[in-house]
Amino acid sequence: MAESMRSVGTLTETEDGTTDSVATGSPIDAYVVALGVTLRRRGDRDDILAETADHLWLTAERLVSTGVAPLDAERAAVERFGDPEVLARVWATVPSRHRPLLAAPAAVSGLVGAAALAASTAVYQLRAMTGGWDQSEYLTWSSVAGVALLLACAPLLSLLADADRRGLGVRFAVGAAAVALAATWFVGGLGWAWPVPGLLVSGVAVLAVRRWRDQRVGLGLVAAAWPLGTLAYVVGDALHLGPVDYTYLQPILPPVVGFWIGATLMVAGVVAVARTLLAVRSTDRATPTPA
Amino acid sequence: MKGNVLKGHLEMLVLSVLARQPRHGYAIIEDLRVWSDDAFELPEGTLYPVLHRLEKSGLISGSWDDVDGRRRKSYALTDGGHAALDEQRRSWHEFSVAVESVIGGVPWPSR
Repeated sequence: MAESMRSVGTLTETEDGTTDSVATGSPIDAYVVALGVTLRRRGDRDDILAETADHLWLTAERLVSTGVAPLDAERAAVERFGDPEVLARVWATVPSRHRPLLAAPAAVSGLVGAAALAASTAVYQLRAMTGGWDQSEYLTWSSVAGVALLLACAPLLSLLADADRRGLGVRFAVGAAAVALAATWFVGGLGWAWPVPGLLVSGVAVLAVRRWRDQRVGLGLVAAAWPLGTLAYVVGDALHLGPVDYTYLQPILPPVVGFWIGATLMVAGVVAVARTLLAVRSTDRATPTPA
Repeated sequence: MKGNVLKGHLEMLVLSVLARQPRHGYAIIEDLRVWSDDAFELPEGTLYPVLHRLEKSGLISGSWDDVDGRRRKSYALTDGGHAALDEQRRSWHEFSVAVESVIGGVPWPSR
């Protein structure tokens, strides 16, 4: 019996008559890859491929248990499952499970916000490292950074809007409140204490990633961004790294480096999420939602 | 029986299988095969779009488990799925009686 098939690999018989898998030349692996290519624009592709792989390996295992040679069993499993191109056409009639609210506007907002956040980071770094800024400049910067953060969070809120499956739910409400508080924090002139709104935003990403496994790269970057930035800030401050601002008697470098780390990772994550949202939109637009 | 004959009826068949107990995709195919005495021939991969469509419609719910290092999704009928299945069974019964009447040359509903 082939009771311990792995998730990838080719069935091969071992000396004791059981089966094992190796990672090369597997018809099932090749099939899953081919199907993945045809489904590349679907937001739920990873889940579909996981189900497909499980089905194919189960089929192969059962065939092997009836005496079919392992490689033949894999080929038969693939044959029975159907042509990937044909299946892709069938899948095209099923809307992607992931159908975030206002995906395209949210993605565009996220990209604009990411660009503004990157610009804000550059300004923050420049002014902090070249002798500081006056109050008016600082307040302007803090307000712009707050708006940038708000726009950049739009893709996260779009994902959270669908997280409860029944429209706007608790997770969306919590996420929207956190983002609003984070943006207000900046606009209110408290940008110097950026770890607070930053960690709120990272928390929103954590909320979203629990539901959106296929967005884990982008959301993971946002989730890690501000904790890592804050850590760099705290450690650098504790070690008194770099030059000191003698007005406030604080090291200049740690908050700048921390903000740079947080903003850079967040920008990367938001861009990744925004790109997938745009792709999901193009898939769903072509397929009506069933009644 | 070819897959295109099943088109339009596969959702009802899947709901019927899941009405007995929760199943993953492979087990649903196996049940369909056994209960139909190998009458249904369809590419097995076409089952999954049907499952996802039913899930999106709220007639079935899916849940993931890790089994032997693989992710496996099982499906169960929801309350809405039970109601939909009852309705589809009624419709199917009416349809099949009518077809039988025509084919058998016996006026419906006198049978």
